[in-house]
Amino acid sequence: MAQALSMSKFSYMNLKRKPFRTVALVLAVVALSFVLFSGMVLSVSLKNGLNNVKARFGADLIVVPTGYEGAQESILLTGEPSCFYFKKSVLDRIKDAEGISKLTAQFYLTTLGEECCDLPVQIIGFDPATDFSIQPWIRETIGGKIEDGALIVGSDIHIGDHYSVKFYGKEYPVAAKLDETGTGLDQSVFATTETIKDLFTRAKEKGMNFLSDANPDASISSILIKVEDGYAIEQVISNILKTAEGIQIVRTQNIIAGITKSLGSFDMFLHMFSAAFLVLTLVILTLVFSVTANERKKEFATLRILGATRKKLAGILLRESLYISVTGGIIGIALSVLFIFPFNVFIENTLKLPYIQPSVPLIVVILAGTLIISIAIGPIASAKSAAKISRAETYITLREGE
Amino acid sequence: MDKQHYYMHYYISTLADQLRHIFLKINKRGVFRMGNRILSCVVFIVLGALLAIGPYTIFPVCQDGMMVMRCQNTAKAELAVGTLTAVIGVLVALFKDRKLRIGISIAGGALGLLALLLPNVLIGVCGSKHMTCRALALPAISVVSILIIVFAGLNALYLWKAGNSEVMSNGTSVKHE
Repeated sequence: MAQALSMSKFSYMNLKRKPFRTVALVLAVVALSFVLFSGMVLSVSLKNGLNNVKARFGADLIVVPTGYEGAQESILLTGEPSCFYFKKSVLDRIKDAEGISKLTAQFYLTTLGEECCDLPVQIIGFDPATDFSIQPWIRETIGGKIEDGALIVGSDIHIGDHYSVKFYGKEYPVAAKLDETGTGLDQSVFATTETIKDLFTRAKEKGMNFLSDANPDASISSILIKVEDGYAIEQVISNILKTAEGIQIVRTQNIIAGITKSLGSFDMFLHMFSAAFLVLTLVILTLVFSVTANERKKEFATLRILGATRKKLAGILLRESLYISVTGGIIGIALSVLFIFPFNVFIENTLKLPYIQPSVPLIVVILAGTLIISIAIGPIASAKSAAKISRAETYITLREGE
Repeated sequence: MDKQHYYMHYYISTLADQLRHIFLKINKRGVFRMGNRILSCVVFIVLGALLAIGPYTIFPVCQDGMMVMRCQNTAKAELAVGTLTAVIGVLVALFKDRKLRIGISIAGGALGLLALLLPNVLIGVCGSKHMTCRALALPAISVVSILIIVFAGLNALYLWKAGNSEVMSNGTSVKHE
C-alpha cells in the first residue's frame, strides 16, 4: 500500500537526493560538535586538575638541597622519580626559625622497573607523627591501620588482586590508596620512616648506588613547611635561609602560578577555537541553505500550486536543516567520546598539566549543551531562507526568467 | 535581491552543478557501482593495517628494554590479527557470492573481537597507567577493534538484507517476502 508523503519524509528524500551536499553539511556540524565537546571536557579537566593541585599542596614551602628545585617540581608535577639528600641536622636547625607552623621531613627513593608498574617509581618516606601532607588524603584504607611495613600508594599505582606491590624483590602490603590529584603524586608510593629503612636496605642489596653518607637515619630529602598565619612567606623564607646553608626553597605558590599561566593560555586557545568553529559552521550552513533555497525556488513554487501552505514550505527547509544538525551533532559527539575518554592519560601525558576528568553528571551536562547548540545551528542557519521562501509570490517565481 | 548577491548565488550553483556532472561521469564507468565490495575491502584493509603496524608506528607500545614486556607480545599478536583482517578485506573483494561475503564479514568481526581481547584480557599491556602502551596503544587498538566489529556487523547485516531484494536490470527492485 502506498504511504502518504509526510513533510518529514519529503525532507528526508530531498536530503537523500543530494548525497554530497548532505554529507558535506553533516561533516561541518560533526566538526563543530567534536570541537565543542572535546574543548569543553578538556577545559573542565584542566581546571579540575588545577583546583586539586591547590588543595593538595598542603605545604607552603619545600626545602631541598641546592640545585634540586627542578627535580622537586618534577616529582610533584609529573612524577618523574628523583633522589637527593642533605643531612638530617638541617631539620633541627630550621625547626627554630620564626614563622613556621608545621614542618615534616621526607626521604626519597626510586625503584627499579618492577613488576607492579614496569616504570621506576618515586618512593616518599614520611614521618607519620609530623606528616600533614599525605595522610589527610587517604581515599580508601585497604588493610586497616597503616603499620610499619605497609605502603600507601598514589591513585595511578596498580596494586593487583593481592593488595600488594613488589619492590626490590619483596612484596609489600598496601595499606591505603590516595585520592586522585592529577599530579605526579598519583604515580608515587609513600612509606613510613621504618618501612623506608627496610626499602633502603633492600635497594642497597640490589645494587642501587647512593651517596656515601645517605641513609634514612642520618639524611633527609626535603622538608615540608606550613607557614604560620600572620607571617609573610618572604619573611619566613629569609628566616629559614639564615639557619642553614646548602639549601634551596621551593614555593608551592610559584608552582601553582606556573600551572595557572600555562592553563590560562591553553584555555583561551580552546575557547577561541570553539568560537571560531561555531561562527564558521553558522556561516557555511547559512550560505549553503541560502544558495540551495534560491536554486529550488521553482520547486517550492510548484509545491505551492499543488497545495502546500507557506508554513509547510518553510517547514520542509527547517526540517532538512534539523536532520543535518541532529545527525552531525550525534556523530561529532560520538567521535569526540571515542577520542577524549579512552585517550585521557595520553592527553594528560602530552599536556604535562594536572588533568582530572569531570564527574559523570557534569559530562552529561556538557554533552546536553553541545547537542543543543549543534541541533540548533541548522534551523538557525536556514531560518532566513525558510522565511524568504514562504514569502515568495508563486506566479512571479514561476515566470521568472521568461 | 541585489545584483552582487544574485551573481554569487549563480556562481556557487554553477560550481555545484559542475561537480555533480564530474561525479556522474565517473560513476557511469562503474567506480562507485562496485559499492559494497570495494568499500568493505578498503575498510578491512585500512583497519587491518592499522592493527598490524600501528603498535610499531603511530600508537607504539613500549620500547624493547632489559625486561620482556607484555605489551610487546600484544603488538606481535596484533600484527598477526591485523594481517588476517587485511586478508579478509582482499577476500571480500574477490568473492561475488553474497552468502560467502556474509561469512567473511562475520569472520572479520570475530577477528576484531580477538584484537580487542588481546590487550584487554588475553595478553594485556604494562601495569603503569602512564606507560605509552597503556596510555596510547591500548585505547587506539581498542577503538580500531571496535570499529572492525561494528563495520563487520553492519556489512553482514546489509548483505543479508540486500539478499531479500533483488535488483533488476532496469533499476527497479523486487522484494521477496
